[in-house]
Amino acid sequence: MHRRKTYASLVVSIILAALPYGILPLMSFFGRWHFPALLPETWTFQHWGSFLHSQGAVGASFLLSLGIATCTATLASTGGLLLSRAVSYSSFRQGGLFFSLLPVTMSPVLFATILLFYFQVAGLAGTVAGVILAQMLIALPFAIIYFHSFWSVRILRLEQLSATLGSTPVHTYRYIIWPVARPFLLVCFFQTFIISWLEYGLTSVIGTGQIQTLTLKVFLYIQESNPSMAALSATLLILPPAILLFWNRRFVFKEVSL
Amino acid sequence: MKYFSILFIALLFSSCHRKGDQATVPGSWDEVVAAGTGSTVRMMMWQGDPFINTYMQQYVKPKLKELYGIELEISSGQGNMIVSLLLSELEAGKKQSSIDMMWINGETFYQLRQIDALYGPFSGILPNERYIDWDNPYIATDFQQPINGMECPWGNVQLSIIYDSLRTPEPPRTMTELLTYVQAHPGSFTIPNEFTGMTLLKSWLIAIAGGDSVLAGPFDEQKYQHYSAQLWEYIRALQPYMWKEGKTFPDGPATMHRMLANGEIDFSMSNNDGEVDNKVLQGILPETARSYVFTSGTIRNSHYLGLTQRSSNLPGAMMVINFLISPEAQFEKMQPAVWGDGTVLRTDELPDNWPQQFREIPGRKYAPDRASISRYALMELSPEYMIRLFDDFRNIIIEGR
Amino acid sequence: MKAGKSIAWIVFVLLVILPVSASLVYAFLYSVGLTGLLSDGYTIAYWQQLRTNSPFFFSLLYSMIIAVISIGLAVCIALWLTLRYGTTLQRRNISFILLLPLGIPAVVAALMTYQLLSPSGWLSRLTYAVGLTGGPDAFPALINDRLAVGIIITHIILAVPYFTALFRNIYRQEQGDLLLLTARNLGADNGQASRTIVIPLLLRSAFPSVLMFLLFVMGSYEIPLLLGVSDPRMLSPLIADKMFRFDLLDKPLAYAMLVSYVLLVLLLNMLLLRKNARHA
Repeated sequence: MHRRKTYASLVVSIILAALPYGILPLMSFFGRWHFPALLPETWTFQHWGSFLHSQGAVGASFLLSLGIATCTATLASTGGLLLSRAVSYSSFRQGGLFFSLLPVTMSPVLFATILLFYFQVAGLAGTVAGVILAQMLIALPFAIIYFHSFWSVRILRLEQLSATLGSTPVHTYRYIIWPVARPFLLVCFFQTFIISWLEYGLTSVIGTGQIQTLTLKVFLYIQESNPSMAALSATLLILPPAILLFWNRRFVFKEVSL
Repeated sequence: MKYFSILFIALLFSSCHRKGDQATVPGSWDEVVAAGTGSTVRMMMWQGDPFINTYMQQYVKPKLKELYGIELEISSGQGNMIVSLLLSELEAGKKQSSIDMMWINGETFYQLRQIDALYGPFSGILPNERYIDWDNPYIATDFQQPINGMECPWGNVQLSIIYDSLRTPEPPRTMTELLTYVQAHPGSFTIPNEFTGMTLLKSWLIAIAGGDSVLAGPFDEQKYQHYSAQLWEYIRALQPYMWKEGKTFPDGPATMHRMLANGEIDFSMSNNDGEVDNKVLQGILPETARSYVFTSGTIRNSHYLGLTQRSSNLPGAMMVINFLISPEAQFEKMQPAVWGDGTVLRTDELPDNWPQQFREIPGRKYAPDRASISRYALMELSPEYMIRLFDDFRNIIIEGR
Repeated sequence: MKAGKSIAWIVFVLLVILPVSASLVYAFLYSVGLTGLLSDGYTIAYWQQLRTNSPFFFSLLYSMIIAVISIGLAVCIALWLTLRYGTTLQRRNISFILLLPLGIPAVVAALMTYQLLSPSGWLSRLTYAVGLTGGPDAFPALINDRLAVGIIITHIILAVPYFTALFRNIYRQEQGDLLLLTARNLGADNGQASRTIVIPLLLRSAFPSVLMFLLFVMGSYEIPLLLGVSDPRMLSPLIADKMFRFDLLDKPLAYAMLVSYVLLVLLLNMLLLRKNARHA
């Protein structure tokens, strides 16, 4: 049985997947680059200079995005784990899933648009807290859906068995459930972090353009028709998820599923 | 029941308290300075141009901090987004707006007044206001509306067309010449689907109507229907020869500058007649770029700064505006290497040696100087014209209905 | 434990059910003129306008077609990669690289596509350098075009990694290798086995994900914003534009569009759940 496989399509796929990580950092060093030049007329460190410099609008955005994403991911993952237990074990399971689906399947920008009024009333529009809350309203249902397959009959039996053997609920959670849940929690944290980190439309609407996360900065530079700065901000944007993915590749590859 | 009434009284007091917090403007300028020094001011403005952003971030912000201890926070929002934001705040019953001041223009001014979102009149309070050239009709009226102190002039510009003199040695100077040109060079011309593009359409509308005076004054539906019909006829004639056959339009001047530099189109445009100089200096446009205006005329207008009705920091915002219209800030802004925006001040009547300094501002190398194009300047039209043109452009030209 | 459960449900209602329901009510009221600063009172004019004189339904159709083409192609490519390179994909480093696009936001993906496929982008410069095209205008319109080529390509690149991982996952769970072996022992060849057993299995199990992704592409915002045309527009840019730009009097119409969109998504979600329950 001959196995002469051509790896052409795989190679093409790999190149396409890795392309942004090559081109974008490269473009952040471009100076003048008019058609039809394949390479720029001038290379410059000026863009990175202004990033690392005191003015650091991009640097501030980076930290802001980091803060918001970490908060959202932490709250959503832990909240999702606990809430989905109540939902999954109840008879209202399908209903719970149904309501959780809407924020996840709706376009985030339209989700934010329809929520804007109440956020304005509550004084949350244009604030960091408001943006975190709005992102939570998507990330939490996402986490609930994610964990609903975790709280299966198997886990229930585990809990019941543990109770029968005399363990207190606290003990059960700390020593029985938690170790099993940990990898799931990790992946959920990663996925909700990504959801928040990469969000543009929702942040722009709820933040009324005043909460300048990194994605907003990329957009701003695109509007300004400034490809080098856009490429720089984009590079900063895609590096953390790549790093996270690298550390978690064991889990992510195994666990990605509905 | 007892708790209910206590709660009710508490709420009553708290809302009274909130009212007290908001929009109290001290009477004299000294009191304004006392209240505004060291405060935070939030400004919303269009952030689509890197030079303007640099001027604000690297000159205005540090200066405000240094001189008055004011922290200026800038957020991004253009005309209609600002109106939309303030409208939604009003509808939600917000007592304090999330922005204190904004960079606005004609039709935004009009819509903001419609929803009563502007604070004013205020420009009379600002000390630097006396230097403003109020005699200039292009400054004292905004889109045919007397500004009555409800907004403060900031800069003055005239729409101009940018081209590459190498590729286009003889650019078309009239609408007829343009039609001939695009027929000979299909795909070389387009109009951005936003403020600048609409300003060009307005300029053409005025030209079709035979001049400034015909369409002056309040909006006239009949006149609009009559002349816009001819305008759309003209655009329809251009359309098949436009960029992408007129099926889609770029989102703004910044994109068009890049397309011009890359050779995709032959013409870009800008509301700022000094734009080509700072774009060449920035390396975005080649040194062979030049700008000009149509002999049928292009619109000259001023852009303004306004205060929000429900701002929580009116004194601070007033101080910022006062600084922005100071000779110092206006001088810096007018440098072609910085922004190249025309000043709203009466430069000859300024104190110290400001008149001299203004006169010595490096001339424009790539754009025609102000004097030579001002005879082609047209007055802005009533805001409803812009709104209708925008709507009809989408309905008639883009969606083809 | 009982108290814990009730608290959990209260939080669930507050954070998941309440916001959208309340917002939907407000949106509906606005669209019929019962609220809003510039409204004149109850009217069904905007709903009528939605039906007869607005780009909404065409935009909906346009968005759905783009979604179906994008996801259809993405699924095919993912199937191809899974079945052909199954074992190679197991290698951690390869799977890592192929999954990288999962971490790319829509804005950046759109930026990439723009830089690659625009008339003055990388591809155009390459074709010019080898003499295939004569300049930016000679380059075919792959972005800002009605056929949404750039938009579709961008969505495919974002979707393929997810589906590849998903198919790989399902394949392993359902012991695809064993099934293939069994089929072969019963006389089928590789192609037959794949076609009649493995592919239907993968597709059926992945159906909920496919449906979800269709919804994602349909509601896509940043990508059509940067790579799309002025007309027709996809749903999200259309509605956001109507809501926040220019004519203040258009807001009720925008809200009517929003309500219609949400109802559509709710409907599709019900379908999603039903299918999922059957194949969970």
